[in-house]
Amino acid sequence: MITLNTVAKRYPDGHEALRGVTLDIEDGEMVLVTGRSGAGKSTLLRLMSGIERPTSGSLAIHRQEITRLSNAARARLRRNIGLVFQDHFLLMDRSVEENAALPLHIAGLYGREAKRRVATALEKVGLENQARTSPLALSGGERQRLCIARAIVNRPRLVIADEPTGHLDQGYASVILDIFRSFNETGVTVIIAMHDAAFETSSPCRILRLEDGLLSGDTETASSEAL
Amino acid sequence: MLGWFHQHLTALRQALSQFGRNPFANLIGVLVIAFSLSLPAGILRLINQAAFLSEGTLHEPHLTLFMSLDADDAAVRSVWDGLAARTDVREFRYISSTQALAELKATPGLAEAIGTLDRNPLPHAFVIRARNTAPQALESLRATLARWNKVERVQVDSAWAKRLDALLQFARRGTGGLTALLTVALAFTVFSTVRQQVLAARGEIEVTHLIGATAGYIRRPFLYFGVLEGILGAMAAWLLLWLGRRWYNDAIQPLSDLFAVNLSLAGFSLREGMLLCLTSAGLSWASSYLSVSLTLRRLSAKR
Ligand SMILES: Nc1ncnc2c1ncn2[C@@H]1O[C@H](COP(=O)(O)OP(=O)(O)O)[C@@H](O)[C@H]1O
Ligand SMILES: [Mg+2]
Repeated sequence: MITLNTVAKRYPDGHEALRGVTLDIEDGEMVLVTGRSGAGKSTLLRLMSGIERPTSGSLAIHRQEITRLSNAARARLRRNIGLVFQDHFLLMDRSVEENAALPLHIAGLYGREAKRRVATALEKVGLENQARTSPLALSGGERQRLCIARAIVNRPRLVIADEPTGHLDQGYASVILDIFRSFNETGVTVIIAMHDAAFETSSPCRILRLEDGLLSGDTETASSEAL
Repeated sequence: MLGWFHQHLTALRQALSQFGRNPFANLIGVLVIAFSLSLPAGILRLINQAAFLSEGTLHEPHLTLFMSLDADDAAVRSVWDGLAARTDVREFRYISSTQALAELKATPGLAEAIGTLDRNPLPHAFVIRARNTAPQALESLRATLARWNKVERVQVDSAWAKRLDALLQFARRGTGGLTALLTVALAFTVFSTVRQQVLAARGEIEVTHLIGATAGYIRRPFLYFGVLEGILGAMAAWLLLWLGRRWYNDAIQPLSDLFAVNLSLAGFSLREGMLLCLTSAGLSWASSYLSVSLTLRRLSAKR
Protein backbone atom coordinates (compact mmCIF):
# COMPACT_ATOMS: atom_id res chain seq x y z
CA MET A 1 0.00 0.00 0.00
CA ILE A 2 2.74 2.47 1.01
CA THR A 3 6.42 1.88 0.34
CA LEU A 4 9.22 4.19 1.51
CA ASN A 5 12.79 3.71 0.44
CA THR A 6 15.51 5.82 2.15
CA VAL A 7 13.16 8.77 2.27
CA ALA A 8 14.51 12.10 3.50
CA LYS A 9 12.71 15.38 3.92
CA ARG A 10 14.55 18.64 4.21
CA TYR A 11 12.45 21.81 4.66
CA PRO A 12 13.34 24.96 2.72
CA ASP A 13 14.90 26.43 5.89
CA GLY A 14 17.45 23.60 5.77
CA HIS A 15 16.00 21.59 8.64
CA GLU A 16 16.16 17.86 8.01
CA ALA A 17 12.92 16.48 9.48
CA LEU A 18 13.31 12.91 8.19
CA ARG A 19 16.42 10.91 7.30
CA GLY A 20 16.75 7.57 5.53
CA VAL A 21 13.36 6.16 6.40
CA THR A 22 12.66 2.80 4.78
CA LEU A 23 9.45 0.94 5.51
CA ASP A 24 6.54 -0.90 3.97
CA ILE A 25 2.91 -0.69 5.07
CA GLU A 26 0.65 -3.51 3.96
CA ASP A 27 -3.04 -3.45 3.20
CA GLY A 28 -5.20 -3.69 6.32
CA GLU A 29 -2.51 -2.81 8.83
CA MET A 30 -3.12 -0.74 11.94
CA VAL A 31 -0.04 1.45 12.43
CA LEU A 32 0.81 3.83 15.27
CA VAL A 33 3.58 6.36 14.65
CA THR A 34 5.04 7.55 17.94
CA GLY A 35 7.82 9.85 18.98
CA ARG A 36 8.52 13.03 20.84
CA SER A 37 7.20 16.34 19.61
CA GLY A 38 9.42 17.42 16.72
CA ALA A 39 10.51 13.86 15.94
CA GLY A 40 9.03 14.07 12.43
CA LYS A 41 5.66 12.29 12.84
CA SER A 42 3.63 14.94 11.01
CA THR A 43 6.23 15.16 8.28
CA LEU A 44 6.10 11.40 7.74
CA LEU A 45 2.29 11.45 7.60
CA ARG A 46 2.25 14.36 5.15
CA LEU A 47 4.60 12.44 2.90
CA MET A 48 2.57 9.24 3.17
CA SER A 49 -0.59 11.13 2.23
CA GLY A 50 0.97 12.85 -0.75
CA ILE A 51 0.66 16.35 0.65
CA GLU A 52 4.40 16.87 0.37
CA ARG A 53 7.14 15.31 -1.71
CA PRO A 54 10.27 13.73 -0.24
CA THR A 55 13.52 15.58 -0.86
CA SER A 56 15.24 12.30 -1.71
CA GLY A 57 14.45 8.59 -1.78
CA SER A 58 11.30 7.10 -3.24
CA LEU A 59 7.80 6.89 -1.89
CA ALA A 60 4.94 4.99 -3.53
CA ILE A 61 1.28 5.21 -2.50
CA HIS A 62 -1.03 2.65 -4.10
CA ARG A 63 1.99 1.80 -6.31
CA GLN A 64 2.18 5.36 -7.63
CA GLU A 65 5.57 7.03 -7.23
CA ILE A 66 4.83 10.32 -5.48
CA THR A 67 7.92 12.15 -6.69
CA ARG A 68 6.78 11.76 -10.28
CA LEU A 69 3.20 12.96 -9.83
CA SER A 70 2.05 16.47 -10.67
CA ASN A 71 0.36 18.65 -8.06
CA ALA A 72 -3.05 17.93 -9.55
CA ALA A 73 -2.38 14.17 -9.64
CA ARG A 74 -1.29 14.18 -6.01
CA ALA A 75 -4.45 16.12 -5.14
CA ARG A 76 -6.54 13.45 -6.87
CA LEU A 77 -4.62 10.74 -5.06
CA ARG A 78 -5.48 12.37 -1.72
CA ARG A 79 -9.18 11.96 -2.45
CA ASN A 80 -8.77 8.24 -1.86
CA ILE A 81 -7.09 8.77 1.49
CA GLY A 82 -9.06 9.69 4.58
CA LEU A 83 -7.16 12.46 6.35
CA VAL A 84 -7.60 13.64 9.93
CA PHE A 85 -5.44 16.54 11.02
CA GLN A 86 -4.04 17.66 14.31
CA ASP A 87 -6.03 20.90 14.06
CA HIS A 88 -9.66 20.40 13.21
CA PHE A 89 -9.77 22.33 9.96
CA LEU A 90 -13.54 22.44 10.02
CA LEU A 91 -15.52 25.09 8.17
CA MET A 92 -17.37 26.91 10.90
CA ASP A 93 -19.76 28.65 8.56
CA ARG A 94 -21.12 25.35 7.22
CA SER A 95 -23.28 22.78 8.91
CA VAL A 96 -21.93 19.50 10.26
CA GLU A 97 -23.25 17.56 7.28
CA GLU A 98 -21.82 20.05 4.79
CA ASN A 99 -18.43 19.65 6.42
CA ALA A 100 -18.71 15.90 6.16
CA ALA A 101 -19.79 16.16 2.51
CA LEU A 102 -16.79 18.27 1.43
CA PRO A 103 -14.63 15.38 0.11
CA LEU A 104 -17.59 14.11 -1.91
CA HIS A 105 -18.13 17.50 -3.47
CA ILE A 106 -14.44 17.76 -4.31
CA ALA A 107 -14.72 14.41 -6.03
CA GLY A 108 -17.82 15.63 -7.87
CA LEU A 109 -20.37 13.51 -6.02
CA TYR A 110 -23.62 15.27 -5.14
CA GLY A 111 -27.27 14.35 -4.73
CA ARG A 112 -28.93 11.38 -3.09
CA GLU A 113 -25.88 9.10 -3.07
CA ALA A 114 -23.83 11.84 -1.41
CA LYS A 115 -26.53 12.40 1.22
CA ARG A 116 -26.62 8.68 1.94
CA ARG A 117 -22.85 8.47 2.39
CA VAL A 118 -22.79 11.52 4.67
CA ALA A 119 -25.54 10.01 6.83
CA THR A 120 -23.63 6.72 7.06
CA ALA A 121 -20.37 8.47 7.98
CA LEU A 122 -22.03 10.61 10.67
CA GLU A 123 -23.72 7.53 12.05
CA LYS A 124 -20.40 5.71 12.34
CA VAL A 125 -19.02 8.45 14.59
CA GLY A 126 -22.29 8.99 16.46
CA LEU A 127 -23.11 12.45 15.15
CA GLU A 128 -26.26 11.58 13.22
CA ASN A 129 -28.41 13.79 15.44
CA GLN A 130 -26.24 16.89 14.97
CA ALA A 131 -26.16 16.84 11.16
CA ARG A 132 -27.85 20.20 10.78
CA THR A 133 -26.06 22.07 13.54
CA SER A 134 -22.93 24.19 13.27
CA PRO A 135 -19.56 22.73 14.25
CA LEU A 136 -19.37 25.68 16.65
CA ALA A 137 -22.00 23.94 18.77
CA LEU A 138 -19.89 20.77 19.05
CA SER A 139 -17.51 19.85 21.86
CA GLY A 140 -13.83 19.21 21.13
CA GLY A 141 -14.37 15.48 21.00
CA GLU A 142 -17.39 15.83 18.74
CA ARG A 143 -15.44 18.05 16.39
CA GLN A 144 -12.73 15.43 16.14
CA ARG A 145 -15.40 12.83 15.39
CA LEU A 146 -16.72 15.08 12.65
CA CYS A 147 -13.21 15.23 11.18
CA ILE A 148 -13.18 11.45 11.18
CA ALA A 149 -16.59 11.34 9.48
CA ARG A 150 -15.23 13.70 6.82
CA ALA A 151 -12.18 11.47 6.39
CA ILE A 152 -14.18 8.29 5.82
CA VAL A 153 -17.13 9.67 3.86
CA ASN A 154 -15.42 8.77 0.59
CA ARG A 155 -14.95 5.17 1.86
CA PRO A 156 -11.16 5.28 1.56
CA ARG A 157 -9.03 2.11 1.82
CA LEU A 158 -6.46 4.17 3.74
CA VAL A 159 -7.01 6.50 6.72
CA ILE A 160 -4.19 8.70 8.03
CA ALA A 161 -4.69 10.64 11.27
CA ASP A 162 -2.21 13.06 12.82
CA GLU A 163 -2.59 13.14 16.63
CA PRO A 164 -6.38 12.84 16.44
CA THR A 165 -6.58 12.68 20.23
CA GLY A 166 -4.07 15.44 20.88
CA HIS A 167 -6.54 17.94 22.25
CA LEU A 168 -8.72 15.44 24.06
CA ASP A 169 -8.63 14.02 27.56
CA GLN A 170 -7.46 10.48 28.16
CA GLY A 171 -10.89 8.87 28.43
CA TYR A 172 -12.11 10.43 25.24
CA ALA A 173 -8.94 9.51 23.38
CA SER A 174 -9.74 5.83 23.75
CA VAL A 175 -13.22 6.44 22.27
CA ILE A 176 -11.59 7.98 19.20
CA LEU A 177 -9.06 5.16 18.95
CA ASP A 178 -11.86 2.61 19.14
CA ILE A 179 -13.55 4.29 16.18
CA PHE A 180 -10.35 3.92 14.15
CA ARG A 181 -9.99 0.35 15.26
CA SER A 182 -13.49 -0.44 14.06
CA PHE A 183 -12.55 0.87 10.60
CA ASN A 184 -9.43 -1.25 10.67
CA GLU A 185 -11.54 -4.28 11.45
CA THR A 186 -13.41 -3.75 8.18
CA GLY A 187 -10.10 -3.99 6.31
CA VAL A 188 -9.18 -0.29 6.12
CA THR A 189 -5.49 0.51 6.56
CA VAL A 190 -5.13 2.97 9.44
CA ILE A 191 -2.05 5.05 10.25
CA ILE A 192 -2.19 7.20 13.38
CA ALA A 193 0.46 9.52 14.79
CA MET A 194 0.54 9.68 18.56
CA HIS A 195 2.30 11.84 21.03
CA ASP A 196 4.68 9.95 23.33
CA ALA A 197 2.26 10.06 26.26
CA ALA A 198 1.20 6.67 27.54
CA PHE A 199 -1.79 5.08 25.90
CA GLU A 200 -3.26 1.66 25.86
CA THR A 201 -3.93 -0.64 22.96
CA SER A 202 -6.70 -3.14 23.29
CA SER A 203 -5.71 -5.11 20.19
CA PRO A 204 -2.52 -5.77 18.30
CA CYS A 205 -1.00 -3.11 16.14
CA ARG A 206 2.29 -2.08 14.60
CA ILE A 207 4.24 0.68 16.28
CA LEU A 208 6.75 2.85 14.43
CA ARG A 209 8.98 4.94 16.63
CA LEU A 210 10.60 8.10 15.33
CA GLU A 211 13.51 9.82 16.98
CA ASP A 212 14.87 13.05 15.60
CA GLY A 213 13.92 12.15 12.04
CA LEU A 214 15.17 8.59 12.19
CA LEU A 215 13.11 5.42 12.36
CA SER A 216 14.28 3.90 15.63
CA GLY A 217 11.72 1.21 16.23
CA ASP A 218 9.29 -0.96 14.29
CA THR A 219 7.46 -3.47 16.49
CA GLU A 220 4.24 -5.46 16.61
CA THR A 221 2.42 -5.32 19.96
CA ALA A 222 0.06 -7.81 21.44
CA SER A 223 -3.13 -6.62 23.09
CA SER A 224 -3.37 -4.63 26.35
CA GLU A 225 0.26 -3.66 26.42
CA ALA A 226 1.10 -0.33 27.93
CA LEU A 227 3.67 1.66 26.01
CA MET B 1 -21.04 15.03 -16.08
CA LEU B 2 -23.72 15.66 -13.47
CA GLY B 3 -21.02 16.04 -10.84
CA TRP B 4 -19.25 18.59 -12.98
CA PHE B 5 -22.47 20.55 -13.36
CA HIS B 6 -23.07 20.40 -9.61
CA GLN B 7 -19.55 21.61 -8.88
CA HIS B 8 -20.09 24.64 -11.08
CA LEU B 9 -23.49 25.26 -9.56
CA THR B 10 -21.99 25.08 -6.09
CA ALA B 11 -19.20 27.46 -7.05
CA LEU B 12 -21.77 29.89 -8.43
CA ARG B 13 -23.83 29.60 -5.25
CA GLN B 14 -20.73 30.29 -3.16
CA ALA B 15 -19.90 33.32 -5.27
CA LEU B 16 -23.44 34.64 -4.86
CA SER B 17 -23.39 34.15 -1.12
CA GLN B 18 -20.07 36.02 -1.02
CA PHE B 19 -21.95 38.99 -2.42
CA GLY B 20 -24.54 38.75 0.31
CA ARG B 21 -21.88 38.48 2.99
CA ASN B 22 -20.27 41.81 2.25
CA PRO B 23 -22.89 43.82 0.37
CA PHE B 24 -21.49 47.30 0.94
CA ALA B 25 -17.91 46.64 -0.16
CA ASN B 26 -19.15 44.64 -3.13
CA LEU B 27 -21.56 47.38 -4.16
CA ILE B 28 -18.68 49.86 -4.19
CA GLY B 29 -16.69 47.45 -6.36
CA VAL B 30 -19.59 47.12 -8.79
CA LEU B 31 -19.97 50.90 -8.96
CA VAL B 32 -16.28 51.44 -9.66
CA ILE B 33 -16.53 48.95 -12.51
CA ALA B 34 -19.71 50.63 -13.75
CA PHE B 35 -18.01 54.01 -13.91
CA SER B 36 -14.89 52.55 -15.48
CA LEU B 37 -17.03 51.12 -18.26
CA SER B 38 -19.66 53.80 -18.74
CA LEU B 39 -17.36 56.79 -18.81
CA PRO B 40 -15.33 55.78 -21.89
CA ALA B 41 -18.40 54.24 -23.55
CA GLY B 42 -20.38 57.44 -23.05
CA ILE B 43 -17.59 59.73 -24.17
CA LEU B 44 -16.89 57.64 -27.25
CA ARG B 45 -20.57 57.77 -28.13
CA LEU B 46 -20.54 61.58 -27.84
CA ILE B 47 -17.42 61.86 -29.99
CA ASN B 48 -18.85 59.61 -32.65
CA GLN B 49 -22.07 61.60 -32.69
CA ALA B 50 -20.14 64.85 -33.12
CA ALA B 51 -18.02 63.28 -35.84
CA PHE B 52 -21.16 62.15 -37.60
CA LEU B 53 -22.53 65.67 -37.48
CA SER B 54 -19.34 67.27 -38.67
CA GLU B 55 -19.13 64.87 -41.61
CA GLY B 56 -22.80 65.07 -42.48
CA THR B 57 -24.96 68.12 -42.17
CA LEU B 58 -22.30 70.52 -41.12
CA HIS B 59 -19.37 69.32 -43.09
CA GLU B 60 -20.37 70.61 -46.51
CA PRO B 61 -18.40 73.85 -46.54
CA HIS B 62 -20.52 76.93 -46.62
CA LEU B 63 -20.38 80.63 -45.82
CA THR B 64 -22.61 82.50 -43.43
CA LEU B 65 -23.05 86.17 -44.18
CA PHE B 66 -24.32 88.44 -41.41
CA MET B 67 -25.71 91.85 -42.34
CA SER B 68 -25.07 94.76 -40.02
CA LEU B 69 -27.91 95.45 -37.58
CA ASP B 70 -28.89 98.67 -39.28
CA ALA B 71 -29.24 97.06 -42.73
CA ASP B 72 -32.62 97.84 -44.29
CA ASP B 73 -34.63 95.96 -46.90
CA ALA B 74 -32.88 97.70 -49.75
CA ALA B 75 -29.48 96.63 -48.48
CA VAL B 76 -30.71 93.07 -48.15
CA ARG B 77 -32.15 93.26 -51.66
CA SER B 78 -28.85 94.41 -53.12
CA VAL B 79 -26.91 91.61 -51.40
CA TRP B 80 -29.53 89.13 -52.64
CA ASP B 81 -29.17 90.41 -56.20
CA GLY B 82 -25.40 90.45 -55.92
CA LEU B 83 -25.33 86.82 -54.79
CA ALA B 84 -27.79 85.76 -57.48
CA ALA B 85 -25.57 87.33 -60.10
CA ARG B 86 -22.39 85.53 -59.06
CA THR B 87 -21.48 82.38 -60.95
CA ASP B 88 -19.29 81.05 -58.08
CA VAL B 89 -22.30 80.90 -55.75
CA ARG B 90 -24.19 77.66 -56.25
CA GLU B 91 -27.14 78.47 -54.00
CA PHE B 92 -28.04 80.61 -51.06
CA ARG B 93 -30.75 80.93 -48.44
CA TYR B 94 -31.93 84.08 -46.75
CA ILE B 95 -32.79 84.06 -43.03
CA SER B 96 -34.35 87.30 -41.91
CA SER B 97 -33.82 88.55 -38.38
CA THR B 98 -37.55 88.07 -37.67
CA GLN B 99 -37.37 84.49 -38.90
CA ALA B 100 -34.31 83.79 -36.77
CA LEU B 101 -36.02 85.30 -33.73
CA ALA B 102 -39.18 83.29 -34.34
CA GLU B 103 -37.10 80.12 -34.44
CA LEU B 104 -35.49 81.05 -31.18
CA LYS B 105 -38.85 81.83 -29.62
CA ALA B 106 -40.11 78.38 -30.55
CA THR B 107 -37.39 76.99 -28.32
CA PRO B 108 -38.84 76.10 -24.94
CA GLY B 109 -37.15 77.97 -22.16
CA LEU B 110 -35.78 80.68 -24.41
CA ALA B 111 -39.19 82.14 -25.33
CA GLU B 112 -39.61 84.00 -22.07
CA ALA B 113 -36.13 85.46 -22.09
CA ILE B 114 -36.60 86.67 -25.63
CA GLY B 115 -40.00 88.12 -24.81
CA THR B 116 -38.38 90.62 -22.48
CA LEU B 117 -36.23 92.06 -25.28
CA ASP B 118 -37.49 95.38 -26.62
CA ARG B 119 -35.54 95.08 -29.87
CA ASN B 120 -34.58 92.17 -32.12
CA PRO B 121 -30.87 91.64 -31.47
CA LEU B 122 -30.39 89.31 -34.42
CA PRO B 123 -29.03 90.36 -37.81
CA HIS B 124 -30.35 89.28 -41.19
CA ALA B 125 -28.25 86.48 -42.56
CA PHE B 126 -27.51 84.48 -45.72
CA VAL B 127 -26.28 80.89 -45.83
CA ILE B 128 -24.27 80.50 -49.02
CA ARG B 129 -23.00 77.37 -50.76
CA ALA B 130 -20.13 77.94 -53.16
CA ARG B 131 -19.57 76.10 -56.40
CA ASN B 132 -15.89 75.57 -55.63
CA THR B 133 -15.39 74.40 -52.07
CA ALA B 134 -11.58 74.37 -52.06
CA PRO B 135 -10.32 76.32 -49.04
CA GLN B 136 -8.61 79.08 -51.08
CA ALA B 137 -11.66 79.61 -53.29
CA LEU B 138 -13.90 79.85 -50.24
CA GLU B 139 -11.54 82.26 -48.59
CA SER B 140 -11.40 84.60 -51.60
CA LEU B 141 -15.20 84.53 -51.91
CA ARG B 142 -15.45 85.31 -48.21
CA ALA B 143 -13.10 88.28 -48.57
CA THR B 144 -15.04 89.65 -51.52
CA LEU B 145 -18.43 89.35 -49.82
CA ALA B 146 -17.10 90.87 -46.60
CA ARG B 147 -16.37 94.14 -48.47
CA TRP B 148 -19.95 94.52 -49.63
CA ASN B 149 -22.12 97.32 -48.34
CA LYS B 150 -23.83 96.76 -44.96
CA VAL B 151 -22.21 93.36 -44.56
CA GLU B 152 -20.98 92.99 -41.00
CA ARG B 153 -19.17 89.68 -41.20
CA VAL B 154 -18.78 86.59 -43.39
CA GLN B 155 -17.52 83.36 -41.96
CA VAL B 156 -16.36 80.18 -43.60
CA ASP B 157 -17.91 77.34 -41.75
CA SER B 158 -15.63 74.70 -43.16
CA ALA B 159 -12.90 76.11 -40.95
CA TRP B 160 -15.15 75.44 -38.02
CA ALA B 161 -15.79 71.92 -39.26
CA LYS B 162 -12.06 71.35 -39.67
CA ARG B 163 -11.38 72.61 -36.20
CA LEU B 164 -14.09 70.32 -34.87
CA ASP B 165 -12.48 67.45 -36.75
CA ALA B 166 -9.10 68.17 -35.22
CA LEU B 167 -10.70 68.49 -31.83
CA LEU B 168 -12.46 65.17 -32.26
CA GLN B 169 -9.22 63.48 -33.26
CA PHE B 170 -7.64 64.83 -30.13
CA ALA B 171 -10.62 63.80 -28.00
CA ARG B 172 -10.49 60.29 -29.46
CA ARG B 173 -6.89 59.92 -28.52
CA GLY B 174 -7.59 61.30 -25.07
CA THR B 175 -10.43 58.85 -24.65
CA GLY B 176 -8.13 56.03 -25.70
CA GLY B 177 -5.84 56.96 -22.82
CA LEU B 178 -8.76 57.31 -20.45
CA THR B 179 -10.12 53.93 -21.52
CA ALA B 180 -6.77 52.29 -20.88
CA LEU B 181 -6.61 53.91 -17.46
CA LEU B 182 -10.13 52.88 -16.52
CA THR B 183 -9.56 49.36 -17.80
CA VAL B 184 -6.73 49.14 -15.33
CA ALA B 185 -9.07 50.50 -12.66
CA LEU B 186 -11.60 47.79 -13.49
CA ALA B 187 -9.01 45.03 -13.48
CA PHE B 188 -7.58 46.30 -10.22
CA THR B 189 -10.98 46.50 -8.55
CA VAL B 190 -11.77 42.89 -9.43
CA PHE B 191 -8.25 41.84 -8.49
CA SER B 192 -8.46 43.34 -5.03
CA THR B 193 -12.00 42.21 -4.17
CA VAL B 194 -11.16 38.68 -5.27
CA ARG B 195 -7.95 38.83 -3.27
CA GLN B 196 -9.96 39.85 -0.23
CA GLN B 197 -12.25 36.86 -0.75
CA VAL B 198 -9.32 34.49 -1.09
CA LEU B 199 -7.69 35.77 2.08
CA ALA B 200 -10.98 35.50 3.97
CA ALA B 201 -11.36 31.90 2.78
CA ARG B 202 -7.79 30.90 3.69
CA GLY B 203 -8.89 28.19 6.09
CA GLU B 204 -11.32 26.63 3.68
CA ILE B 205 -8.80 26.73 0.86
CA GLU B 206 -6.26 24.97 3.03
CA VAL B 207 -8.65 22.17 4.01
CA THR B 208 -9.98 21.59 0.53
CA HIS B 209 -6.43 21.55 -0.79
CA LEU B 210 -5.35 19.00 1.82
CA ILE B 211 -8.24 16.67 1.19
CA GLY B 212 -7.66 16.58 -2.52
CA ALA B 213 -9.07 19.63 -4.28
CA THR B 214 -7.20 20.59 -7.43
CA ALA B 215 -6.19 24.19 -8.09
CA GLY B 216 -9.04 24.42 -10.59
CA TYR B 217 -11.60 23.43 -7.99
CA ILE B 218 -10.21 25.95 -5.50
CA ARG B 219 -10.11 28.76 -8.05
CA ARG B 220 -13.62 28.20 -9.36
CA PRO B 221 -15.82 30.07 -6.85
CA PHE B 222 -13.46 33.04 -6.96
CA LEU B 223 -13.54 33.17 -10.74
CA TYR B 224 -17.32 33.07 -10.60
CA PHE B 225 -17.25 35.85 -8.06
CA GLY B 226 -15.00 38.04 -10.23
CA VAL B 227 -16.97 37.43 -13.40
CA LEU B 228 -20.23 38.06 -11.55
CA GLU B 229 -18.86 41.33 -10.25
CA GLY B 230 -17.79 42.28 -13.78
CA ILE B 231 -21.19 41.47 -15.26
CA LEU B 232 -23.05 43.32 -12.51
CA GLY B 233 -20.70 46.24 -13.13
CA ALA B 234 -21.49 46.14 -16.85
CA MET B 235 -25.20 46.09 -16.11
CA ALA B 236 -24.85 49.06 -13.78
CA ALA B 237 -22.78 50.80 -16.49
CA TRP B 238 -25.62 50.14 -18.91
CA LEU B 239 -28.05 51.79 -16.52
CA LEU B 240 -25.72 54.77 -16.07
CA LEU B 241 -25.39 55.16 -19.83
CA TRP B 242 -29.14 54.99 -20.24
CA LEU B 243 -29.67 57.64 -17.57
CA GLY B 244 -26.86 59.77 -18.97
CA ARG B 245 -28.28 59.61 -22.46
CA ARG B 246 -31.72 60.65 -21.26
CA TRP B 247 -30.29 63.54 -19.33
CA TYR B 248 -28.16 64.63 -22.28
CA ASN B 249 -30.99 64.41 -24.77
CA ASP B 250 -33.29 66.47 -22.57
CA ALA B 251 -30.57 69.08 -22.22
CA ILE B 252 -29.66 69.14 -25.90
CA GLN B 253 -33.24 69.37 -27.22
CA PRO B 254 -33.38 73.22 -27.27
CA LEU B 255 -30.11 73.37 -29.20
CA SER B 256 -31.30 70.73 -31.65
CA ASP B 257 -34.42 72.81 -32.30
CA LEU B 258 -32.37 75.95 -32.71
CA PHE B 259 -30.06 74.55 -35.35
CA ALA B 260 -32.70 72.31 -36.87
CA VAL B 261 -30.29 69.39 -36.69
CA ASN B 262 -30.77 66.27 -34.64
CA LEU B 263 -28.18 66.48 -31.88
CA SER B 264 -29.74 63.82 -29.69
CA LEU B 265 -27.77 60.67 -28.94
CA ALA B 266 -28.96 57.39 -30.34
CA GLY B 267 -29.64 54.66 -27.78
CA PHE B 268 -27.26 51.79 -27.22
CA SER B 269 -28.22 48.63 -29.04
CA LEU B 270 -28.60 45.23 -27.43
CA ARG B 271 -25.49 44.16 -29.29
CA GLU B 272 -23.49 46.96 -27.73
CA GLY B 273 -24.88 45.95 -24.35
CA MET B 274 -23.78 42.36 -24.86
CA LEU B 275 -20.37 43.57 -25.97
CA LEU B 276 -20.05 45.65 -22.83
CA CYS B 277 -20.98 42.64 -20.67
CA LEU B 278 -18.62 40.32 -22.53
CA THR B 279 -15.73 42.77 -22.33
CA SER B 280 -16.28 43.27 -18.65
CA ALA B 281 -16.73 39.55 -17.98
CA GLY B 282 -13.55 38.70 -19.89
CA LEU B 283 -11.50 41.33 -18.13
CA SER B 284 -12.87 40.30 -14.75
CA TRP B 285 -12.17 36.65 -15.44
CA ALA B 286 -8.56 37.40 -16.33
CA SER B 287 -7.93 39.59 -13.32
CA SER B 288 -9.63 37.23 -10.87
CA TYR B 289 -7.60 34.36 -12.30
CA LEU B 290 -4.44 36.34 -11.75
CA SER B 291 -5.58 37.41 -8.30
CA VAL B 292 -6.44 33.89 -7.09
CA SER B 293 -3.24 32.42 -8.49
CA LEU B 294 -0.98 35.07 -7.01
CA THR B 295 -2.73 35.10 -3.64
CA LEU B 296 -2.71 31.30 -3.40
CA ARG B 297 0.97 31.22 -4.24
CA ARG B 298 1.66 33.73 -1.47
CA LEU B 299 -0.42 31.70 0.97
CA SER B 300 1.28 28.40 0.16
CA ALA B 301 4.70 30.05 0.36
CA LYS B 302 3.86 31.08 3.93
CA ARG B 303 2.84 27.56 4.90
N1 LIG C 1 7.02 23.48 7.20
C1 LIG C 1 8.13 23.34 7.94
N2 LIG C 1 9.19 24.12 7.70
C2 LIG C 1 10.33 23.97 8.43
N3 LIG C 1 10.48 23.11 9.42
C3 LIG C 1 9.46 22.30 9.71
C4 LIG C 1 8.23 22.37 9.00
N4 LIG C 1 7.40 21.44 9.51
C5 LIG C 1 8.07 20.83 10.50
N5 LIG C 1 9.29 21.34 10.62
C6 LIG C 1 10.33 20.89 11.55
O1 LIG C 1 10.59 19.53 11.31
C7 LIG C 1 10.70 18.84 12.52
C8 LIG C 1 9.68 17.73 12.58
O2 LIG C 1 8.40 18.31 12.62
P1 LIG C 1 7.07 17.46 12.68
O3 LIG C 1 7.10 16.54 11.54
O4 LIG C 1 5.93 18.42 12.77
O5 LIG C 1 7.24 16.67 14.03
P2 LIG C 1 6.12 16.08 15.01
O6 LIG C 1 4.86 15.98 14.26
O7 LIG C 1 6.70 14.75 15.41
O8 LIG C 1 6.04 16.99 16.17
C9 LIG C 1 10.54 19.83 13.64
O9 LIG C 1 11.81 20.20 14.12
C10 LIG C 1 9.85 21.00 12.99
O10 LIG C 1 10.27 22.19 13.59
MG1 LIG D 1 3.01 16.85 14.59
